[in-house]
Amino acid sequence: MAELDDNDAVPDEDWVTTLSAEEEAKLVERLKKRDEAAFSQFVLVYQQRVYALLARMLNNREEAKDVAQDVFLAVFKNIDSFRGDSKLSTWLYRVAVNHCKNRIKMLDRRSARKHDVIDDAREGAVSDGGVLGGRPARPDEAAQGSELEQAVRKALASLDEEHRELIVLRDLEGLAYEEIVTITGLPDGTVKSRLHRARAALKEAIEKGVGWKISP
Amino acid sequence: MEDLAVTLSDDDVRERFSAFHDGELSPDEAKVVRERIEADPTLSAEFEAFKKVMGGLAFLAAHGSHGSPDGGAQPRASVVPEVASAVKGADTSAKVAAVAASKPVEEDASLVLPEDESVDLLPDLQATLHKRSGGKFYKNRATRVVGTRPIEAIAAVTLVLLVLAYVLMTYVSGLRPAEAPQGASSQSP
Repeated sequence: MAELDDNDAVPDEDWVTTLSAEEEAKLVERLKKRDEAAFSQFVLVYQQRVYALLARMLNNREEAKDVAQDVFLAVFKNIDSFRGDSKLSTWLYRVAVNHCKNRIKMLDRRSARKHDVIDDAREGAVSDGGVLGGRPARPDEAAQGSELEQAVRKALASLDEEHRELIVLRDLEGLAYEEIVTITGLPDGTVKSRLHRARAALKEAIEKGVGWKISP
Repeated sequence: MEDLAVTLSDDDVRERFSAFHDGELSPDEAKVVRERIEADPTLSAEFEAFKKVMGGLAFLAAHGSHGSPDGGAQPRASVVPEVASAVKGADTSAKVAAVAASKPVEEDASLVLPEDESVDLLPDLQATLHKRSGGKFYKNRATRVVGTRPIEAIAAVTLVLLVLAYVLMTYVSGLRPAEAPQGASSQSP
Protein backbone atom coordinates (compact mmCIF):
# COMPACT_ATOMS: atom_id res chain seq x y z
CA MET A 1 0.00 0.00 0.00
CA ALA A 2 1.68 3.14 -1.21
CA GLU A 3 1.98 6.08 1.06
CA LEU A 4 -0.08 9.06 0.03
CA ASP A 5 2.23 11.30 -1.86
CA ASP A 6 1.93 14.60 -3.62
CA ASN A 7 3.42 13.01 -6.68
CA ASP A 8 0.74 10.36 -6.96
CA ALA A 9 -1.43 12.05 -9.53
CA VAL A 10 -3.57 9.02 -10.23
CA PRO A 11 -3.61 6.52 -7.40
CA ASP A 12 -4.25 2.96 -8.42
CA GLU A 13 -7.30 0.92 -7.45
CA ASP A 14 -5.54 -0.58 -4.45
CA TRP A 15 -5.19 2.85 -3.05
CA VAL A 16 -8.94 2.99 -2.76
CA THR A 17 -9.75 -0.50 -1.74
CA THR A 18 -7.14 -0.72 0.95
CA LEU A 19 -7.12 2.80 2.28
CA SER A 20 -6.39 2.48 5.96
CA ALA A 21 -7.93 4.66 8.61
CA GLU A 22 -4.61 6.37 9.11
CA GLU A 23 -4.22 7.15 5.42
CA GLU A 24 -7.74 8.37 5.17
CA ALA A 25 -7.12 10.63 8.15
CA LYS A 26 -4.08 12.05 6.37
CA LEU A 27 -6.09 12.74 3.27
CA VAL A 28 -8.83 14.44 5.28
CA GLU A 29 -6.25 16.52 7.06
CA ARG A 30 -4.86 17.69 3.76
CA LEU A 31 -8.32 18.35 2.39
CA LYS A 32 -9.11 20.47 5.42
CA LYS A 33 -6.04 22.53 4.65
CA ARG A 34 -7.51 23.02 1.20
CA ASP A 35 -4.58 21.23 -0.34
CA GLU A 36 -5.18 21.39 -4.06
CA ALA A 37 -3.20 18.27 -4.80
CA ALA A 38 -5.12 16.32 -2.18
CA PHE A 39 -8.41 17.49 -3.63
CA SER A 40 -7.32 16.49 -7.11
CA GLN A 41 -6.41 13.05 -5.83
CA PHE A 42 -9.67 12.79 -3.97
CA VAL A 43 -11.65 13.60 -7.10
CA LEU A 44 -9.66 11.23 -9.27
CA VAL A 45 -10.20 8.41 -6.83
CA TYR A 46 -13.89 8.85 -6.14
CA GLN A 47 -15.35 10.53 -9.23
CA GLN A 48 -16.21 7.32 -11.05
CA ARG A 49 -17.98 5.84 -8.06
CA VAL A 50 -19.92 8.96 -7.27
CA TYR A 51 -20.92 9.30 -10.89
CA ALA A 52 -22.02 5.67 -11.07
CA LEU A 53 -24.12 6.05 -7.94
CA LEU A 54 -25.77 9.20 -9.24
CA ALA A 55 -26.31 7.78 -12.70
CA ARG A 56 -28.10 4.82 -11.21
CA MET A 57 -30.24 6.96 -8.98
CA LEU A 58 -31.03 9.64 -11.54
CA ASN A 59 -31.02 7.43 -14.61
CA ASN A 60 -29.59 10.30 -16.57
CA ARG A 61 -25.95 10.78 -17.50
CA GLU A 62 -25.85 14.53 -17.88
CA GLU A 63 -27.71 15.15 -14.65
CA ALA A 64 -25.43 12.68 -12.91
CA LYS A 65 -22.34 14.52 -14.10
CA ASP A 66 -23.78 17.83 -13.08
CA VAL A 67 -24.72 16.62 -9.61
CA ALA A 68 -21.35 14.92 -9.20
CA GLN A 69 -19.67 18.25 -9.84
CA ASP A 70 -21.83 19.84 -7.16
CA VAL A 71 -21.02 17.04 -4.76
CA PHE A 72 -17.27 17.51 -5.04
CA LEU A 73 -17.57 21.26 -4.81
CA ALA A 74 -19.64 20.80 -1.66
CA VAL A 75 -17.00 18.49 -0.23
CA PHE A 76 -14.26 21.01 -0.94
CA LYS A 77 -16.30 23.71 0.75
CA ASN A 78 -17.62 21.72 3.70
CA ILE A 79 -14.86 19.25 4.48
CA ASP A 80 -14.43 20.97 7.85
CA SER A 81 -17.80 19.61 8.88
CA PHE A 82 -16.53 16.05 8.44
CA ARG A 83 -15.84 14.94 11.99
CA GLY A 84 -14.59 11.48 11.20
CA ASP A 85 -17.53 9.70 12.83
CA SER A 86 -17.84 7.62 9.69
CA LYS A 87 -15.54 6.75 6.84
CA LEU A 88 -14.78 9.49 4.36
CA SER A 89 -16.35 7.46 1.59
CA THR A 90 -19.55 7.02 3.60
CA TRP A 91 -19.72 10.72 4.23
CA LEU A 92 -19.11 11.40 0.55
CA TYR A 93 -21.96 9.05 -0.35
CA ARG A 94 -24.23 10.83 2.09
CA VAL A 95 -23.42 14.16 0.47
CA ALA A 96 -24.04 12.60 -2.93
CA VAL A 97 -27.38 11.08 -1.92
CA ASN A 98 -28.57 14.34 -0.42
CA HIS A 99 -27.61 16.28 -3.53
CA CYS A 100 -29.31 13.65 -5.62
CA LYS A 101 -32.55 13.95 -3.66
CA ASN A 102 -32.48 17.70 -4.01
CA ARG A 103 -31.94 17.39 -7.74
CA ILE A 104 -34.83 14.95 -8.09
CA LYS A 105 -37.13 17.35 -6.28
CA MET A 106 -35.99 20.21 -8.47
CA LEU A 107 -36.49 18.18 -11.62
CA ASP A 108 -39.91 17.06 -10.46
CA ARG A 109 -40.94 20.65 -9.86
CA ARG A 110 -39.55 21.70 -13.21
CA SER A 111 -41.31 18.82 -14.90
CA ALA A 112 -44.59 19.75 -13.23
CA ARG A 113 -44.30 23.36 -14.37
CA LYS A 114 -43.44 22.26 -17.87
CA HIS A 115 -46.51 20.06 -17.96
CA ASP A 116 -48.69 22.92 -16.83
CA VAL A 117 -47.41 25.10 -19.62
CA ILE A 118 -47.82 22.37 -22.18
CA ASP A 119 -51.31 21.53 -20.98
CA ASP A 120 -52.30 25.18 -21.12
CA ALA A 121 -51.05 25.49 -24.63
CA ARG A 122 -52.84 22.29 -25.62
CA GLU A 123 -49.75 20.97 -27.22
CA GLY A 124 -50.56 17.41 -26.52
CA ALA A 125 -49.73 14.93 -23.89
CA VAL A 126 -46.25 14.45 -22.56
CA SER A 127 -44.70 11.79 -20.46
CA ASP A 128 -44.74 12.47 -16.75
CA GLY A 129 -41.71 10.38 -15.99
CA GLY A 130 -39.37 13.31 -15.60
CA VAL A 131 -35.74 12.47 -15.53
CA LEU A 132 -36.34 9.16 -13.86
CA GLY A 133 -38.00 7.04 -16.37
CA GLY A 134 -40.10 8.87 -18.88
CA ARG A 135 -37.23 9.55 -21.23
CA PRO A 136 -37.40 7.34 -24.25
CA ALA A 137 -34.35 5.21 -24.71
CA ARG A 138 -31.87 6.36 -27.31
CA PRO A 139 -30.98 3.84 -30.00
CA ASP A 140 -27.54 3.29 -28.51
CA GLU A 141 -29.04 2.77 -25.09
CA ALA A 142 -31.56 0.33 -26.45
CA ALA A 143 -28.79 -1.64 -28.03
CA GLN A 144 -26.74 -1.75 -24.89
CA GLY A 145 -26.84 -4.62 -22.53
CA SER A 146 -28.87 -7.72 -22.41
CA GLU A 147 -32.59 -8.00 -22.24
CA LEU A 148 -32.38 -9.09 -18.65
CA GLU A 149 -30.15 -6.22 -17.73
CA GLN A 150 -32.44 -3.77 -19.43
CA ALA A 151 -35.44 -5.25 -17.65
CA VAL A 152 -33.84 -4.80 -14.27
CA ARG A 153 -32.62 -1.33 -15.10
CA LYS A 154 -36.00 -0.28 -16.37
CA ALA A 155 -37.74 -1.68 -13.33
CA LEU A 156 -35.25 0.04 -11.08
CA ALA A 157 -35.86 3.36 -12.78
CA SER A 158 -39.59 2.96 -12.26
CA LEU A 159 -39.30 2.59 -8.49
CA ASP A 160 -40.02 5.32 -5.99
CA GLU A 161 -37.02 7.41 -5.07
CA GLU A 162 -36.80 5.99 -1.56
CA HIS A 163 -36.92 2.42 -2.82
CA ARG A 164 -34.45 2.97 -5.60
CA GLU A 165 -32.06 4.71 -3.24
CA LEU A 166 -31.84 1.70 -0.95
CA ILE A 167 -31.49 -0.83 -3.73
CA VAL A 168 -28.73 1.18 -5.35
CA LEU A 169 -26.85 1.58 -2.09
CA ARG A 170 -27.27 -1.98 -0.89
CA ASP A 171 -27.51 -4.20 -3.94
CA LEU A 172 -25.61 -2.27 -6.57
CA GLU A 173 -23.05 -0.40 -4.53
CA GLY A 174 -22.71 -3.20 -2.01
CA LEU A 175 -22.73 -1.00 1.08
CA ALA A 176 -23.20 -2.43 4.55
CA TYR A 177 -26.36 -1.73 6.49
CA GLU A 178 -24.48 0.49 8.95
CA GLU A 179 -23.18 2.60 6.10
CA ILE A 180 -26.65 2.92 4.61
CA VAL A 181 -27.96 4.00 8.00
CA THR A 182 -25.28 6.67 8.13
CA ILE A 183 -25.83 7.80 4.57
CA THR A 184 -29.61 7.97 4.64
CA GLY A 185 -30.06 8.97 8.27
CA LEU A 186 -32.77 6.33 8.58
CA PRO A 187 -33.05 4.04 11.59
CA ASP A 188 -31.67 0.55 11.12
CA GLY A 189 -35.10 -1.09 11.28
CA THR A 190 -36.48 1.31 8.69
CA VAL A 191 -33.63 0.57 6.33
CA LYS A 192 -34.29 -3.16 6.58
CA SER A 193 -38.05 -2.97 6.18
CA ARG A 194 -37.87 -0.41 3.41
CA LEU A 195 -35.25 -2.43 1.58
CA HIS A 196 -37.52 -5.44 1.75
CA ARG A 197 -40.40 -3.44 0.30
CA ALA A 198 -38.10 -2.02 -2.34
CA ARG A 199 -37.01 -5.47 -3.46
CA ALA A 200 -40.60 -6.67 -3.54
CA ALA A 201 -41.52 -3.62 -5.60
CA LEU A 202 -38.65 -4.31 -7.94
CA LYS A 203 -39.79 -7.87 -8.49
CA GLU A 204 -43.27 -6.63 -9.25
CA ALA A 205 -41.94 -3.97 -11.60
CA ILE A 206 -39.83 -6.48 -13.50
CA GLU A 207 -42.80 -8.78 -13.96
CA LYS A 208 -45.06 -5.92 -14.92
CA GLY A 209 -42.54 -4.33 -17.25
CA VAL A 210 -41.52 -7.32 -19.26
CA GLY A 211 -44.60 -9.43 -18.88
CA TRP A 212 -42.71 -12.34 -17.41
CA LYS A 213 -43.60 -14.15 -14.28
CA ILE A 214 -40.56 -14.66 -12.14
CA SER A 215 -40.86 -18.10 -10.74
CA PRO A 216 -38.45 -20.59 -9.27
CA MET B 1 -37.29 -19.91 19.76
CA GLU B 2 -40.31 -22.15 20.07
CA ASP B 3 -42.51 -19.09 20.37
CA LEU B 4 -41.07 -17.49 17.28
CA ALA B 5 -41.64 -20.59 15.21
CA VAL B 6 -45.25 -20.68 16.27
CA THR B 7 -46.07 -17.00 16.12
CA LEU B 8 -44.51 -16.14 12.79
CA SER B 9 -47.20 -15.90 10.15
CA ASP B 10 -46.45 -16.53 6.49
CA ASP B 11 -46.40 -12.80 5.93
CA ASP B 12 -43.94 -12.42 8.77
CA VAL B 13 -41.70 -14.90 7.04
CA ARG B 14 -42.05 -13.03 3.74
CA GLU B 15 -41.14 -9.81 5.54
CA ARG B 16 -37.92 -11.48 6.59
CA PHE B 17 -36.87 -12.64 3.13
CA SER B 18 -34.56 -9.67 2.62
CA ALA B 19 -32.92 -9.85 6.01
CA PHE B 20 -32.62 -13.62 5.70
CA HIS B 21 -31.05 -13.31 2.26
CA ASP B 22 -28.58 -10.74 3.57
CA GLY B 23 -27.72 -12.75 6.66
CA GLU B 24 -29.07 -10.03 8.87
CA LEU B 25 -31.29 -12.20 11.06
CA SER B 26 -30.17 -13.54 14.38
CA PRO B 27 -29.13 -17.21 14.25
CA ASP B 28 -32.31 -18.29 16.01
CA GLU B 29 -34.55 -16.25 13.77
CA ALA B 30 -32.71 -17.36 10.67
CA LYS B 31 -33.15 -20.99 11.69
CA VAL B 32 -36.88 -20.53 12.12
CA VAL B 33 -37.25 -18.75 8.79
CA ARG B 34 -35.19 -21.38 7.02
CA GLU B 35 -37.29 -24.18 8.46
CA ARG B 36 -40.50 -22.45 7.52
CA ILE B 37 -39.31 -21.87 3.97
CA GLU B 38 -38.21 -25.47 3.62
CA ALA B 39 -41.45 -26.80 5.04
CA ASP B 40 -43.87 -24.67 3.06
CA PRO B 41 -43.86 -25.12 -0.75
CA THR B 42 -45.53 -21.75 -1.30
CA LEU B 43 -43.01 -19.87 0.81
CA SER B 44 -40.25 -21.87 -0.77
CA ALA B 45 -41.37 -20.90 -4.26
CA GLU B 46 -41.72 -17.27 -3.26
CA PHE B 47 -38.27 -17.21 -1.72
CA GLU B 48 -36.79 -18.76 -4.84
CA ALA B 49 -38.44 -16.06 -6.92
CA PHE B 50 -37.10 -13.45 -4.54
CA LYS B 51 -33.61 -14.88 -5.02
CA LYS B 52 -34.01 -14.56 -8.77
CA VAL B 53 -34.65 -10.86 -8.40
CA MET B 54 -31.56 -10.60 -6.27
CA GLY B 55 -29.71 -12.47 -8.99
CA GLY B 56 -30.88 -9.89 -11.51
CA LEU B 57 -29.51 -7.12 -9.32
CA ALA B 58 -26.28 -9.03 -8.91
CA PHE B 59 -26.09 -9.25 -12.68
CA LEU B 60 -26.43 -5.49 -12.90
CA ALA B 61 -23.94 -4.94 -10.10
CA ALA B 62 -21.48 -7.30 -11.73
CA HIS B 63 -21.59 -5.25 -14.90
CA GLY B 64 -20.83 -2.10 -12.92
CA SER B 65 -17.15 -2.45 -12.28
CA HIS B 66 -16.88 0.18 -9.59
CA GLY B 67 -18.08 -1.44 -6.44
CA SER B 68 -18.48 0.63 -3.34
CA PRO B 69 -16.00 3.34 -2.46
CA ASP B 70 -14.26 0.77 -0.33
CA GLY B 71 -14.58 -2.10 -2.70
CA GLY B 72 -17.62 -3.52 -0.99
CA ALA B 73 -19.66 -4.60 -3.98
CA GLN B 74 -19.13 -8.19 -4.85
CA PRO B 75 -20.11 -9.28 -8.31
CA ARG B 76 -22.33 -12.27 -7.97
CA ALA B 77 -22.39 -13.49 -11.53
CA SER B 78 -22.72 -17.07 -10.41
CA VAL B 79 -26.40 -16.59 -9.74
CA VAL B 80 -27.12 -15.22 -13.17
CA PRO B 81 -28.04 -18.52 -14.81
CA GLU B 82 -30.62 -18.97 -12.06
CA VAL B 83 -32.22 -15.73 -13.10
CA ALA B 84 -32.31 -16.73 -16.70
CA SER B 85 -33.87 -20.07 -15.96
CA ALA B 86 -36.48 -18.39 -13.83
CA VAL B 87 -37.77 -16.26 -16.64
CA LYS B 88 -40.52 -18.30 -18.13
CA GLY B 89 -42.94 -17.76 -20.91
CA ALA B 90 -42.46 -15.74 -24.07
CA ASP B 91 -39.92 -16.72 -26.68
CA THR B 92 -37.46 -14.23 -25.31
CA SER B 93 -36.52 -16.45 -22.43
CA ALA B 94 -34.09 -18.42 -24.52
CA LYS B 95 -32.29 -15.27 -25.54
CA VAL B 96 -32.10 -14.12 -21.95
CA ALA B 97 -30.79 -17.46 -20.86
CA ALA B 98 -28.17 -17.39 -23.58
CA VAL B 99 -27.01 -13.94 -22.61
CA ALA B 100 -27.03 -14.64 -18.91
CA ALA B 101 -25.47 -18.06 -18.99
CA SER B 102 -22.95 -17.89 -21.76
CA LYS B 103 -21.44 -14.43 -21.87
CA PRO B 104 -18.75 -13.64 -19.36
CA VAL B 105 -19.48 -10.21 -17.99
CA GLU B 106 -15.93 -8.97 -18.22
CA GLU B 107 -15.54 -9.81 -21.88
CA ASP B 108 -18.63 -8.27 -23.36
CA ALA B 109 -17.95 -4.66 -24.17
CA SER B 110 -21.47 -4.17 -25.48
CA LEU B 111 -22.79 -4.61 -21.97
CA VAL B 112 -21.10 -1.53 -20.58
CA LEU B 113 -23.66 0.53 -18.75
CA PRO B 114 -23.98 4.27 -19.16
CA GLU B 115 -22.78 4.78 -15.61
CA ASP B 116 -19.68 2.75 -16.38
CA GLU B 117 -18.51 5.29 -18.88
CA SER B 118 -15.34 6.99 -17.97
CA VAL B 119 -15.97 10.40 -16.52
CA ASP B 120 -13.45 13.16 -15.90
CA LEU B 121 -14.77 15.83 -13.62
CA LEU B 122 -11.46 17.25 -12.52
CA PRO B 123 -10.77 19.92 -15.18
CA ASP B 124 -14.17 21.50 -14.76
CA LEU B 125 -13.98 21.25 -10.99
CA GLN B 126 -10.61 22.92 -10.90
CA ALA B 127 -11.74 25.67 -13.23
CA THR B 128 -14.87 26.24 -11.16
CA LEU B 129 -12.93 26.36 -7.90
CA HIS B 130 -10.45 28.75 -9.48
CA LYS B 131 -13.27 31.01 -10.58
CA ARG B 132 -15.34 30.86 -7.42
CA SER B 133 -12.36 31.46 -5.16
CA GLY B 134 -11.42 34.57 -7.08
CA GLY B 135 -8.26 32.93 -8.34
CA LYS B 136 -7.10 31.68 -4.94
CA PHE B 137 -7.18 28.00 -5.80
CA TYR B 138 -5.62 26.35 -8.82
CA LYS B 139 -3.90 29.57 -9.82
CA ASN B 140 -1.65 27.99 -12.38
CA ARG B 141 -3.58 26.68 -15.31
CA ALA B 142 -0.83 24.21 -16.18
CA THR B 143 -1.02 22.58 -12.78
CA ARG B 144 -4.77 22.26 -12.68
CA VAL B 145 -5.26 19.01 -14.43
CA VAL B 146 -2.00 17.45 -13.37
CA GLY B 147 -2.62 18.69 -9.90
CA THR B 148 0.44 17.29 -8.23
CA ARG B 149 3.42 18.06 -10.40
CA PRO B 150 5.42 21.30 -10.26
CA ILE B 151 5.22 22.07 -13.95
CA GLU B 152 6.84 25.50 -13.55
CA ALA B 153 9.78 24.09 -11.63
CA ILE B 154 10.31 21.41 -14.23
CA ALA B 155 10.25 24.05 -16.98
CA ALA B 156 12.79 26.23 -15.14
CA VAL B 157 15.16 23.34 -14.57
CA THR B 158 14.88 22.32 -18.21
CA LEU B 159 15.72 25.87 -19.32
CA VAL B 160 18.77 26.03 -17.08
CA LEU B 161 19.96 22.67 -18.38
CA LEU B 162 19.60 23.85 -21.98
CA VAL B 163 21.66 26.98 -21.27
CA LEU B 164 24.33 24.92 -19.54
CA ALA B 165 24.43 22.52 -22.45
CA TYR B 166 24.84 25.40 -24.91
CA VAL B 167 27.68 26.94 -22.91
CA LEU B 168 29.39 23.59 -22.57
CA MET B 169 29.14 22.95 -26.30
CA THR B 170 30.71 26.28 -27.18
CA TYR B 171 33.70 25.64 -24.88
CA VAL B 172 34.18 22.14 -26.17
CA SER B 173 34.27 23.36 -29.75
CA GLY B 174 36.81 26.05 -28.77
CA LEU B 175 34.55 28.89 -29.87
CA ARG B 176 33.17 31.54 -27.64
CA PRO B 177 29.63 32.55 -28.55
CA ALA B 178 30.68 36.10 -29.60
CA GLU B 179 33.30 34.85 -32.04
CA ALA B 180 31.12 32.56 -34.04
CA PRO B 181 29.41 35.21 -36.22
CA GLN B 182 32.74 37.00 -36.94
CA GLY B 183 34.45 33.80 -37.96
CA ALA B 184 31.53 33.00 -40.22
CA SER B 185 31.63 36.48 -41.90
CA SER B 186 35.44 36.44 -42.46
CA GLN B 187 35.12 33.34 -44.58
CA SER B 188 32.72 34.97 -46.97
CA PRO B 189 34.19 36.74 -50.08
